[in-house]
Amino acid sequence: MIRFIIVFFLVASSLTVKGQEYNTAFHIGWNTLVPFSDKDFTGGTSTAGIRVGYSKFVGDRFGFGFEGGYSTMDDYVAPTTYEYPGGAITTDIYNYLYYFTLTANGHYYLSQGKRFISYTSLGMGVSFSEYKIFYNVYQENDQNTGFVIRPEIGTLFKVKENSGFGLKAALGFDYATNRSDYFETKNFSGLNFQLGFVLLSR
Amino acid sequence: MRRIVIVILIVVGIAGCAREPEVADLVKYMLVQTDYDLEEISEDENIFNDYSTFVLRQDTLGFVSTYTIDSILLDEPGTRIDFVNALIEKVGTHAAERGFERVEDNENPDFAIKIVVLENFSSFQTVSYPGYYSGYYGYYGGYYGPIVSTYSSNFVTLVIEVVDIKNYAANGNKYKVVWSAYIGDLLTTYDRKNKILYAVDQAFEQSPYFSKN
Repeated sequence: MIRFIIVFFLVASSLTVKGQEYNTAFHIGWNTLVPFSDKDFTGGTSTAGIRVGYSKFVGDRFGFGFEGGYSTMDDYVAPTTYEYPGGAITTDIYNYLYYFTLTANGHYYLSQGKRFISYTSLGMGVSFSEYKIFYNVYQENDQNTGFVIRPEIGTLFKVKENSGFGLKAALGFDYATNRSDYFETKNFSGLNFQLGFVLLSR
Repeated sequence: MRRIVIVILIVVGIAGCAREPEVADLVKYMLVQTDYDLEEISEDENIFNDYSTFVLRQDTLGFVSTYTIDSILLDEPGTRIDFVNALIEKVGTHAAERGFERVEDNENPDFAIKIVVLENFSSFQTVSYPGYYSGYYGYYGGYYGPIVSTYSSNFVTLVIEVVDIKNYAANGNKYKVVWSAYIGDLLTTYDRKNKILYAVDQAFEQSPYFSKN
């Protein structure tokens, strides 16, 4: 899958470069997140994510913008007995991590072709996370705010050559300083894959 | 039009991400917590070895609620309160299997097993007497009184406690709780009776020290 995505981006990037056509781009997409950290808490791949962003083109090669992202990761731990000094507790647990990011992004456009606009970007900003566990009707949570950095590579695909409507695909990596001492988790990191729509304006 | 579609997409997307587990899944298993007195039960000593007999009320459970002044629960066939007798028998059977003999009140039992249902108990938390029965909430007095002191809940919780009668004088004329089990939530669960009985089994299973040698 990852190999396919890389080949896809390379092909997109090799298309003929055309002069700057657009001024701004708005995108909204579905985000899949593969956490690398604390998989015991967050579980595996999460498809419950959304990304919304706005970009402004500056010349043929550069751009900047901002983006908001929201993903939920979860995991289920079957009934287990946990012992502690003076007692024990038996329960099943639902772990949830709600992860919200707000970043400012700088873009470098590898090419602006007839149909493809491929780019690399670096986003930095603030990340809010809420670690929450549910057991029976009871719940505990821990919230914190951190710093996130997100390198990304992606492409925009116009459905028609002169259309302002297109699709967006991007692959990125999140590293956030968010961690929960209460739940003993480490700084958050994960690979994300975004697929969505883009509206380009001249 | 385009803006409306965008806003709808954002709202739907965020709503789709902000999910929580279903209540039906959450209450599939009851939570079972057991605590014991570290002063009385350790690797070196176990107060249960000093006990031989216990007393356990028949037919009634203690009941403490912020919604009603009722202080006991009785089986009410055909309603959701159909677990009282089965629960009492289950607890008595477990204690007997652990080597203790069930006796009557007037036969000088070594310990009492109290079973209390707490409903929306959080407002009672302002007064607590950790580990000892205060008599403050006594609904039928003596060592049967609810001794809950460390638990806070807006839900319905079943509490089972072992009260040391044998060492009443040695404990400064107080009834000391040496073991507690908290089982919840009784309100939201379905198949309540069977889940309670299963939870009681689990409470004893995770308390192997609750045994006479």
